[in-house]
Amino acid sequence: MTTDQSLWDQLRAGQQQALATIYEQEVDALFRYGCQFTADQGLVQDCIQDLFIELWKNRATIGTTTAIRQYLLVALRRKIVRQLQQRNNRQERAERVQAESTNQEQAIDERIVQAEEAATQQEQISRALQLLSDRQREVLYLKYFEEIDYKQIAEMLGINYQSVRNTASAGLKALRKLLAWLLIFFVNL
Amino acid sequence: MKPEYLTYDIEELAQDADFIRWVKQSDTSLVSTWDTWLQAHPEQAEKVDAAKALVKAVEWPVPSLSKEQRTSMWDNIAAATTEEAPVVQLPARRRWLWSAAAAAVLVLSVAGWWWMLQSEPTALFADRTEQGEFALPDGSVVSLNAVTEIRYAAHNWNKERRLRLEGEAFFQVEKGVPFIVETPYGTVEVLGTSFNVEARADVFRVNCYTGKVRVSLPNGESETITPKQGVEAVDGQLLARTVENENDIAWQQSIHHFTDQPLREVFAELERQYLVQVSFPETIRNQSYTGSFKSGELETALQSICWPLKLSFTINQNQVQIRADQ
Repeated sequence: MTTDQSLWDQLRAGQQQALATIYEQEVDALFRYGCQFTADQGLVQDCIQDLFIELWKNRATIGTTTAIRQYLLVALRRKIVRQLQQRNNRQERAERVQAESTNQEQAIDERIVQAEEAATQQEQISRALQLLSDRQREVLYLKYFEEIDYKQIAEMLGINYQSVRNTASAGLKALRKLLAWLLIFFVNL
Repeated sequence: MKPEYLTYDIEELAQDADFIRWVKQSDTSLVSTWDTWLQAHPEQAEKVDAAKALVKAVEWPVPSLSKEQRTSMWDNIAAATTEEAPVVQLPARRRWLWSAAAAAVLVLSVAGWWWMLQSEPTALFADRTEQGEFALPDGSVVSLNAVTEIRYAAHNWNKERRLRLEGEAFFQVEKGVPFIVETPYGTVEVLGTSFNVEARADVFRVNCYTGKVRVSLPNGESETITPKQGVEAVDGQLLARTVENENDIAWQQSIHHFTDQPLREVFAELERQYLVQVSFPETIRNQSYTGSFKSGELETALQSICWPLKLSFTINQNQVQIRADQ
């Protein structure tokens, strides 16, 4: 097994095979993560391609890392966020503003009622996840999908450890409430 | 097992890395450890169940890449990072969209930006023994035969679909603004069709498979061809040739067909499909050959060229010597 460290060193030494290996190992996780920020999968794919091309171009000057995945996730996140900002698409912005304002107008109760109408429990959970803030979703995604620990998440997101913990905890509390509520709902059914 | 597990509350347990791995079954070695622990501490069962439900609740559908997407993304990356192709830019499907947005903002630097893109056109290559299929920014598809190069300005693609070709390529063009293929020997212009262009050494051949294609030579000579028609440039003139079958584009299936073509062309193609150097007597240079060979097995390929013409061959590492014995 090649360790992250030696793989990264090979890349820095200009071995193209190392780039291919990293791509094979990381592309799925990168794509999954990228799609957390936008529904535009084409954009995510473009950003991933750019990311690898830049990685190769800048291989001589990139720093060391022992955690390739985290390094790439952070870089991809930056890229996508920048693209989304740059896109500056008036229409999308308008849609988003509209969606956000309706979200705020809607009381939590109403949204739970909406969740109630969903056909399956999993669907309800998916909908319920919309109750989470973007930040909560992201932290929980990194923790539960990528199984990255809070310390590393804090480094990745550039926020302090305690606020990562608080964010995760708030998210989990919201989910617990929802689970309890779902349980009642299903028992009563 | 950590002693803290006994005192953890539901949320603490649900955030424990080992606990998550157990619930998500990403580490099977944990199964027996947790089962044993639960048997020893039955009073913990309720808490564990609640924490489990919580871990499972943090789940939402995530999209995944198809095998094709994975491969084509890598192809783009590989094309852009191969040393032989320093000018390659990612043929991003939608880069131009962002470029358009950026252009509005960066009015002042437009000239410099344009110059930069201009000086760095997107390049697609297929080396010796290679073939490649690429999507152009509008979704048109181009397949490259071995030793072929295509360059185009991606930023300008939606205004003018113009590319430079050296080698041989098959195009499937989406409908839209004129699609222009420039070669050193002549130009091909179409509107949405599929066609094959061979433009190398002294050969310039165009076959049309669907739609309508306009072929013109630097001297002004031009011809419009329709499906199943082809033209070939001979001494500054465009001569019609019929395209009875798809032999000319069988190279995409790694079969290389020739109809009454001089042996020098056949051996040139062989050298593009195999990493060999072919030497042959001057006397058979223009001898005409009809037949085909395949990429893959050199000896078989040589046999299918030499046998009908009663030629013999020897292979010495990457040198192929052809002899006309009779």
